Amino acid sequence: MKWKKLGKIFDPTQHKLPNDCTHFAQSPQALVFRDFVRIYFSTRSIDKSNGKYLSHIAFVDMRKNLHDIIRVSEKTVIPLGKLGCFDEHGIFPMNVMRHGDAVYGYTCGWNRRISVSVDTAIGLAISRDDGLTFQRIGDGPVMAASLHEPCLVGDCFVKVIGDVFHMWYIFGKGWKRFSAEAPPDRIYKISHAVSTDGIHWIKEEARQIIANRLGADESQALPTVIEIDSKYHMFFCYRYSSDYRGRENGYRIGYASSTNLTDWVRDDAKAGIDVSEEGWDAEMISYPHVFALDGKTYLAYLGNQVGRHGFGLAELDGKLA
Amino acid sequence: MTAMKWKKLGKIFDPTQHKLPNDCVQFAQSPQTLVFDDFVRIYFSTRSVDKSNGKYLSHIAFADMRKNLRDVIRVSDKTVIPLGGLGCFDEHGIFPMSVMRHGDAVYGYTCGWNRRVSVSVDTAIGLAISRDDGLTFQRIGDGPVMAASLHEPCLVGDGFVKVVGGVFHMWYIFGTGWKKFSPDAAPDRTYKIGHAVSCDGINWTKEEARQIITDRLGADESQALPTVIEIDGRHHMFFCYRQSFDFRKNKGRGYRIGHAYSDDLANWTRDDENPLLDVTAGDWDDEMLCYPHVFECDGKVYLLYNGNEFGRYGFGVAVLEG
Repeated sequence: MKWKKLGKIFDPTQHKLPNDCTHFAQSPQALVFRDFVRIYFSTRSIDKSNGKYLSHIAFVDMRKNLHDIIRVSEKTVIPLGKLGCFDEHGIFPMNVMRHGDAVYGYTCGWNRRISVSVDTAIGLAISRDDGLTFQRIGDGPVMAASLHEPCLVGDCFVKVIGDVFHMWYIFGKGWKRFSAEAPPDRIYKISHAVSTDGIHWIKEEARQIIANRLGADESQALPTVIEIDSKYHMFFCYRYSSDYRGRENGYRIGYASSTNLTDWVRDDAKAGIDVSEEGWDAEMISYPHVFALDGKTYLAYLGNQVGRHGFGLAELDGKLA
Repeated sequence: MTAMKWKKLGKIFDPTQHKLPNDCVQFAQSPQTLVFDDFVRIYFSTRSVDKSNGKYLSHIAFADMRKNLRDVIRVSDKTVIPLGGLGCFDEHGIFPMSVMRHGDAVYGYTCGWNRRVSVSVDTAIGLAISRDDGLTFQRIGDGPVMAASLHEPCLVGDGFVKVVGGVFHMWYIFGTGWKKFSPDAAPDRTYKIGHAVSCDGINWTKEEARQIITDRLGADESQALPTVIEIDGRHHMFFCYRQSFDFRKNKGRGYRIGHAYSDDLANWTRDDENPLLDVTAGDWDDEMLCYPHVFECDGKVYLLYNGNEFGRYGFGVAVLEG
């Protein structure tokens, strides 16, 4: 399989964004309508109290050619969490899924810590207005750190298969100082949970479902799963856990497949997409999101500087096998 | 039935009079007992200072006392349980740890603390098990067994666990949120007492934000550290409660001991007056009373508790009469 790159399709610096956001359009996630596609992303404002970033959800509506922009959200899609809650300092990403007349938004909420930079957990917010705004079903998370997943539960992707909600997500293995003077870095892996209602989840509790390619210190993020010809295809991104900001150790897109939703075979050679020789995605590619539209399969993803200047798109050339 | 009454026996342990492990010097908070044949091991949380930022770190230590609850036999000289790993829920302190015998083991339910940027702290409940009669405890995992959830968004802690009729019952506290009570004050938290059950002591089902003890001071009452004992077929819960802000220095707003009873473990009737434990003017506990722990020893019911300054200078005991 091979992806044909269509280039960068959205640049956040060219649009007015809500919540005083100016840069970043990270982790695009598609909600397909009859005559357009709503693509959610995380963008950033600055917390005036300390100069740190706050991630907010916004969206862009695009024509189905995935080229022409119809509108960019001008209002808050979902406010940040309350003081002391798991999602008070950012939501990044939000995975959206239609369920009946509603749209479920599974958020990855961020909160800043003292000893390490951040912790995350997964929340649920529901939209009754076709995804213009989302309301939390509670101030706390639906899935968070647990006995063998001590930190950094986030980045989920949810899909109903049969009558079962399946969630693929990441959990932290821990924080580590890779050099004496460096701040701690985190290591995270992809896992799986199930639910009958999308609210109460049963984790496989720290079962890493995707094998490491870069060894124990590989970090894996943002799984996205699509079913084609009764086979499940997962794309995700992975990188070294330290010194990962340049081309050498930065994010790449990985691939795994499964026929039973339990056992996944990793084969990154089949991912069919890599960094370009030059241009907006020459240093890294990350935060993949796969979706089907009018019989075609698309992959939205981030390039250099993890989406500071927007996201791009690739179209599947041939079939997922 | 005659009315129940507490008789105070005074302060029984002063941490500043002993050498403590982990470079701790002050505080013996939230005493919790493990009764042996010929002595009582009393765990408490004491504090060292984090050299990187000058903030406190709470560590668990214990004092072994004769059953007269007056003579100290020994104080732990080693680490009872190390603090949690970097970025984990319990990296900045364990306060308190509730201990319970289960088979040959001792289960220690920890309240782990981690510091945050926007608010001072969050907490969650962990489980560590001792196979050496409570000298040392080993975590069963680096993460919590009970933490923030959909309707309990923060500050899950203070677990007290008791097996009743084959079921593990946990009474604990959950945060209802943080609030700035005045523009220039740091955010203060409010928490209430909830209940959860488990068949193995590890996997818990919460009642999810059901506040089981009614407020006496209104919505801004904080309730902490439930402890439960059965006396003559009735379950009695003691806990502490206070106003959610201006409670540290203002005597009238600080912690007091509350009481509730239940015959079915589902419905609790609050009755702080019977038995009442109140402050004693001019004594070590004349400003506040907090962190109660009730236990039975040789046919008597005792209440351990902290006095002024949240236990900076130790804990005392009262015995139940009537």
